[in-house]
Amino acid sequence: MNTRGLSLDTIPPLLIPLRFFLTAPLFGICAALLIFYQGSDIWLSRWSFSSLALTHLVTLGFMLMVMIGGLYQFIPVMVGQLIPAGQYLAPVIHSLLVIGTFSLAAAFLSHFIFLYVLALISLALSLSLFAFSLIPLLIAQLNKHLLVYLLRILLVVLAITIAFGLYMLFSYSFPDSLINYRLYTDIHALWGLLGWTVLLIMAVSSQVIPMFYVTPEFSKNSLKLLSMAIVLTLIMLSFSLLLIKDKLFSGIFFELLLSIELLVFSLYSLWLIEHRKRKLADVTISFFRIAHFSLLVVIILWWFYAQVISAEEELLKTQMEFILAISLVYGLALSAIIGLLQKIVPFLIFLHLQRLSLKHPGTISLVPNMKKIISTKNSKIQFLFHCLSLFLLIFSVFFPQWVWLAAILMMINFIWLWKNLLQGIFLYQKNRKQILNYNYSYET
Amino acid sequence: MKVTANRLDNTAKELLIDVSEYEAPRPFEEVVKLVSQLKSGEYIRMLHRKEPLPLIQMLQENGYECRMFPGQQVEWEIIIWNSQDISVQEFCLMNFSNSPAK
Repeated sequence: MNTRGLSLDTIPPLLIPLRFFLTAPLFGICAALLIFYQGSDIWLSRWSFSSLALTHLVTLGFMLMVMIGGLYQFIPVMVGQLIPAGQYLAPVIHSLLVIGTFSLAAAFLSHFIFLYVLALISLALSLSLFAFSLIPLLIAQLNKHLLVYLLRILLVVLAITIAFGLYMLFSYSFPDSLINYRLYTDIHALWGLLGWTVLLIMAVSSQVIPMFYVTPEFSKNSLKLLSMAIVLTLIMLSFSLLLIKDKLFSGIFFELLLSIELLVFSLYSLWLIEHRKRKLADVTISFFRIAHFSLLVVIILWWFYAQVISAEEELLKTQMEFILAISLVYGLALSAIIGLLQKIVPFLIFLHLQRLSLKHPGTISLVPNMKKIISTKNSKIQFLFHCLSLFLLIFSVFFPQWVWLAAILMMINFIWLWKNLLQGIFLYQKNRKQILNYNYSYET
Repeated sequence: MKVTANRLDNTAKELLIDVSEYEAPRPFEEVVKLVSQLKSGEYIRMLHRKEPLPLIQMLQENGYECRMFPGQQVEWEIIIWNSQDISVQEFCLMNFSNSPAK
């Protein structure tokens, strides 16, 4: 690539990704408050409205929120093009996502039809606007970028997940329409929890792990093949759920295939992490280890759930469903995302201060080291809170009398994350002022 | 970090910096530090495993020219020089402008 005449635009304004990153922990805190408020009832059934509210507070409020903020930041760095109109669209997308997620959780808890309608409109608008703003990038000739390839697949999977979700939300909003909620919920959960979560972590891992930990690069062809295989298997599994009444054979075959695909991804990622070129002590890599270890646990438990537990063992079946969901969402996705935030937010602050410092000669010493923006000690404490809360959430499924403690630890985990991110922003503001003032006194 | 200086002819001295095994954002920090110490008649050859697009944008915003092409020892080689330094500018444009795109 020759850069002559090329106008690179790789650095979006800091506020665009940060508004998403700073909002996400607040939804985590709300989710923890809901668990605390509901107590042991939260694990009674995955069909209960409180557990639906909890799932969506975490998946939409935390995971999707960080994903959108992360894409606003990562796409320009990787492909050299900003997501168009970010300055105007990001605040709208963000506000609608906040309104949509809160109203959806509130609708599940209160059953007010108005809230379902509000959630339907806000979420549909927010996600359509974001998808619309990605169109130029998705149709551009950027095939050499693995991120763009994975992103295309990820957005298709997300669109299918959301389409099923909005369809059910539409039915909640207009109660006269009769649909098979359980079947559609299963398919929605399959695409969301397995498809979207795993492919999101795949896209994140493929960029972040080699960049921050100097591991060997992920093989582009392997990840392209693997992501496509996961989507095809999900399609076949959905068809077997929707169309084939006796799904015994086809179901087991596609479940086995999906397990193998997830196993390959998990072992491959762990292998790369262990083969990094410079084994520097860095606690944030432990978040990625926990994430991929959780995926291994999910695969093992899934087979135990599907093959060993009989339909009569209803309590154990329900407990396994919650443990699978906790391991996938809190263990796999949140571990990787919290680990990512410990890296990406200091990196962004560093990048913007460095840019400012280049324009103000002599101020380079005012650009802090990344490890000072979120200290290693604070990241270690974050890791401790995260692991403890993950363990206690799983423990509380079997011993619901301890669910209050799990909720408190989960709340502390998100409060600590929020505090660390805010501290980074305050440091940015302070150093930014110092750089600007330094320049002023130097010039006069 | 190892910086090797080679004078290629009477007009340009190359500062070679290999950051291909550094974790982000250390390559960025090291190159910015080196750029701030760049003297007249010098240019930088940076070896890296990634395309450092934000770094290139920032350098271009601050009066530096960059050329990027596939490397021999590592994935990418990036040539950086001060566009105000006439002799280096001529040398680099002559030697690196037609570098193959990857």
